[in-house]
Amino acid sequence: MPARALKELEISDVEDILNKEEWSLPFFSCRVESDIDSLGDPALWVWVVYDVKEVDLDAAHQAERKIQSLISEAGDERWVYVRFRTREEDADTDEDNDEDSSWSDDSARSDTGSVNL
Amino acid sequence: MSLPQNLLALCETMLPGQNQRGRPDAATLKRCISTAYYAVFSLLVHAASSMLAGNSAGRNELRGYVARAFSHNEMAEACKGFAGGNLNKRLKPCLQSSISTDLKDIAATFRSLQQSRHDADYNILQKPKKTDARQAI
Repeated sequence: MPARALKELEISDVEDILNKEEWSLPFFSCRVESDIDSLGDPALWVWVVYDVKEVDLDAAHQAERKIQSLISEAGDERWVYVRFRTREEDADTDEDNDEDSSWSDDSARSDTGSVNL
Repeated sequence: MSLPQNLLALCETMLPGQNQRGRPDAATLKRCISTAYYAVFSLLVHAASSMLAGNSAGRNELRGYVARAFSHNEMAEACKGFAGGNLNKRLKPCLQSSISTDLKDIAATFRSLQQSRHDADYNILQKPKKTDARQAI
């Protein structure tokens, strides 16, 4: 029997959910991407960028669980991976991606959006 | 120290401390993330095999065989149900009570960490940052 398809929101809807929430942490921005994870399941990656020099990982852990809950409660059944960056690291990532874009067209995730929190 | 503790201590030696300057290279960061995952994997496998086979010295060999039966993918699949609170119907009768918040947290962390390890070890395009490694530890 084929596996039941997971309920999935549009990336823009996920962004809206995250935008509507009031965040007390020093978030700068948040990117949402969808792809298949290492288990072969559809999943979301939420890249949270902090406006700090060093990420407070205790606070980040709380944010991770809250983001997962918000998306789950909205009805999206995909697994949510939450990853953190400082602004400096995020800028560095963009630069690296530009440098490596000739390696493979598969490097980009299939569906990408961004939100400002 | 136990193997998981040693592995975590090894991770710490690879990274500059909080508020210290320094930018580890991608190879170091990838190794750190992978090692942090193995610390958790070893801890869970040791705990589970000890529970199943017994903790006495006389059970060492049996415990070793039981430990070899755990697979990364199956553990991550099992974690899906525990983390989401939607266990497989066959497993539900085995639980004495509802899934605790701590257990959900461990299951969610294991799966997230396994994905990080997968990216670190197999995704040559991924360039991890210090925050990724610190998050893994």
